[in-house]
Amino acid sequence: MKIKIFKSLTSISAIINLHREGELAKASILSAVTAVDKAEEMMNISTRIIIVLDAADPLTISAAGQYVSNNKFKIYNVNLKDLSCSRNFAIDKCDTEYVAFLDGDDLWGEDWLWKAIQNDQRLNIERDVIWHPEINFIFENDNHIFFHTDMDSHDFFIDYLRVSNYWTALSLAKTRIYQEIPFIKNEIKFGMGFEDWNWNCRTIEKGFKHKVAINTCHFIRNKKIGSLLSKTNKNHCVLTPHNLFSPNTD
Amino acid sequence: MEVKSKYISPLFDLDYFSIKYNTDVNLLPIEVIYNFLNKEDQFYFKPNAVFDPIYYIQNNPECDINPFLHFLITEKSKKSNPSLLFDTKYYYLKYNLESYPFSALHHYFSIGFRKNRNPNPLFDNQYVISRYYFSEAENPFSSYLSDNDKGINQTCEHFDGEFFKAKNIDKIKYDKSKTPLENFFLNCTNKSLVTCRKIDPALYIIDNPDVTINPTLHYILNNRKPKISNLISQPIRRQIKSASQIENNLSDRIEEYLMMHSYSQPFISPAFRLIRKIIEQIGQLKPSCIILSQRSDDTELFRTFTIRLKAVLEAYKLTEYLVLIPDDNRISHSCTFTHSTFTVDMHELEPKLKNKHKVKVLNNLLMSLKPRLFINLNTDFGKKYIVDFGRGIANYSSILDIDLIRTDKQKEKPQCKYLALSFKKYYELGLTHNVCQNLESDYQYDSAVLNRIEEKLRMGLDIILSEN
Repeated sequence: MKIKIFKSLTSISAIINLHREGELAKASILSAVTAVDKAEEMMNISTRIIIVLDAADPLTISAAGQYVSNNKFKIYNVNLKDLSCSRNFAIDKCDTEYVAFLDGDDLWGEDWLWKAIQNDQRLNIERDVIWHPEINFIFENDNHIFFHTDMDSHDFFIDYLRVSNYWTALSLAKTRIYQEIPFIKNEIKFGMGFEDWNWNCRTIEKGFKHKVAINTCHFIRNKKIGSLLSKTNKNHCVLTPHNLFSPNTD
Repeated sequence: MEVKSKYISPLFDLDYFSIKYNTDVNLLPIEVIYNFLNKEDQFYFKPNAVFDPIYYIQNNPECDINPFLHFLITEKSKKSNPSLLFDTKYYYLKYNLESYPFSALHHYFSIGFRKNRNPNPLFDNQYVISRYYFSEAENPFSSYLSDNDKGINQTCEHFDGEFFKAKNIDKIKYDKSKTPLENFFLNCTNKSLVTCRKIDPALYIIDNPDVTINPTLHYILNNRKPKISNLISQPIRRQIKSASQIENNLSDRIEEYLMMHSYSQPFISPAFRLIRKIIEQIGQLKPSCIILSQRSDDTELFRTFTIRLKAVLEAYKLTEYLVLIPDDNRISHSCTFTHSTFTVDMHELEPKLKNKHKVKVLNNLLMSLKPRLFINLNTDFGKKYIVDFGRGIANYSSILDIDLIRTDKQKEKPQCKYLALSFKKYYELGLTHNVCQNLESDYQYDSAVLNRIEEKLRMGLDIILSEN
C-alpha cells in the first residue's frame, strides 16, 4: 500500500502599508493582486492580502475600500502614524508561513512572490533567508535602477552597511523572522531614522542571510516631496543604533 | 659562508624552492642555486612560483640548458613569456618598460608587485591584495600559483574562478591540475567562455561584432563597458511590460533611462562603487591625508557622500587627517608626499560641473569632514573663488580665514609640492611651530601672519591658506 505524504500548504500574506497615497494606492494594490494571482497559478499556495491603513486620508481609504467585501483581503484602519509600527501591527495579524511587504505607492513585479518562495523552498540552508528582488526600478521624480546585492555574492561587503543600506524594506521572508526581529520605530524628530537599514543590520547580527531572487523586480516610486526618506534626509537623521558593528559582535 | 639574500636575484625564490623541493637544510643557498643550475635532474624545477620550465621549453624548443638559465642569459627574457599567466608583451606595453634592462618578470618580482602592476589582463594585483588581505611584502601572484594561495578565487573584477569552472567545465578540456585562470588562457580565443556574472559573452558580441578573442579579455583590453540594458533579462522585461498596464508609461520611462545610460557602470550605482572603494581603501590605508579632486558637484548625492565619508572616517576612528584639494594636474605630485594618502575623484560622479557649484561642494565637504587642517594648494580655482569659499565655511564652523601673503622677497610662486611637504612635517611631528618655521624659511612669509597662524593652530582651529 502506498502512503501519500501531504506537505502542508504554503501560505503567504502580502502586506500593503497605506498612509496618504490616495489614488496611487490603487496601482500598488493592483500589483499585489497580480503577483498573488500569479503565485497561485504557479504553485500550490494559499494567499491573502492584508492592508493596513495608518492614519490614512479619505482618498486612500476609498482606494482600499473597494476590496472590503473580498474574502482574500483583510483591511485594518489604525492610527499608529509610523511605518515600522504599522508593519509590526500587520505581522501580529498574520497567521501565514511567509510574509511580503509592499509600501502604498510602490509596485511588485508579477513574478516576485512565487519566485522568492520557490527560491526559499529550494534552498536547503540552516538559517532562514530574507529575500529581496534582483532589481528595483526607481521611477517618477528620479529614474534610476538599483540592483540588490546578494550576501553570497562577491559584491557584498559587510562594512558597506556602516555607511549605507543594501536592501529596501520590501522583503519576503518567513513570518517568524519578522516576529523575532520587529521593525524599530523611526524617531525622525529626534534625528533617528532608516528603519529598513536598521532592520537589515539587526537581522544580519542575528545570523539571518539576505539573498536576491533572480529575475524579480520592484518598482519604487520616488516622490519629489513627502516621502519618508526625504523627511529623514531633511532632518539630517542618522541610522537608529544597532549592534552589528559593536565591539562584541564586530 | 652565507650568501645574503640581497645578492640573490629576485627571480630565485629560495624559500619557495627549498620548501617545494625539500632541499637539504645543510646546503648553503649558493649550493642550492648551483645544483639547480647545473644538475640535469633539477632542470625542470621551478625557481619561483611563476616561472614554468615546461611551458618555457615548449615555446622555446631550441633551449638545451636549464630553461631558467636560458631565459636569463638570452634575449628571450625580453620576449618570451616565462609562464602561461605572465604576459611579457602586455607587461612591457602597459607599463611602458621597453627600456628596462631586465625581463618583465624581473621587474614584477623586484618592483612591480609592490606597485600593483598586473602580470596579465585578468590578474588585478591591487584587487587581489585588497580582497584577500595580502601584506605589502607579499607577492599575490606568486601566492596564487603556489600551494599557499590564501583561497584566491577571484583574480579581478571580471574573473571568478569557481564561477568560470562551473560554467565552462563542459565546454573545454578543463585541466583540474591547473588554476581556473590557466584554463582560461589555454582557451582564451573561445568566445563563449563565461568568466563572471557581469559580462554575458553572447550579448557582448552583439554589441562588439569585431571581437576575435574572449569577450572578457576584449572588454578589459579595450576598456569597454557592457550595456546596462543587457543586464535586464527577458523575464524582468516581461514584468516591466505587465506593470505598465497598471502604472502608465512605466515601461517608456525605464527604456528611456536605459537608453540614456546605455554605457554607464553596470550593476550598482556609481555612488555605491565610490563608497565601497572609499571604505576598502580607508580601512587599509588609515590615511593621514585625503586628497579630494576639486571637480565635484553639489547634488544631494554629493551631500550624502560627504556624510558617509565622515561616517567611514569615524568608523575607523580616523580623527587626525589632512584634506587637500589640489589642482587636477597636481594630484600626482600631491600623492607622493604623505605615506598614506587617499584620493577621491568626484569627477567619477558628475563630469560636468561649473565653478560656482564647486564652491558649494567644498563648503559641504568641510562642513561635513571638519579636518584638522584644510589646505587649498594655491589652485587657480582657489584664487578665483577663495573669498566666497572662506565666507561659506565661516558660516558653518569656527574656521578662520587667514591669508598667507608672500613678501616681495619671494617672487617665484612657491611650488605646492614643497608647501605640502612642510605640512607633512608639521603633521608628522605634531608641532604647530614647525609649519611656521618651514614656511618662514622656505617661502619667507610675513612673520606677523605666521604668528597668527601658529596661535590659531595651537588653539586647534582649522585654517585656510590662500595665496592672494
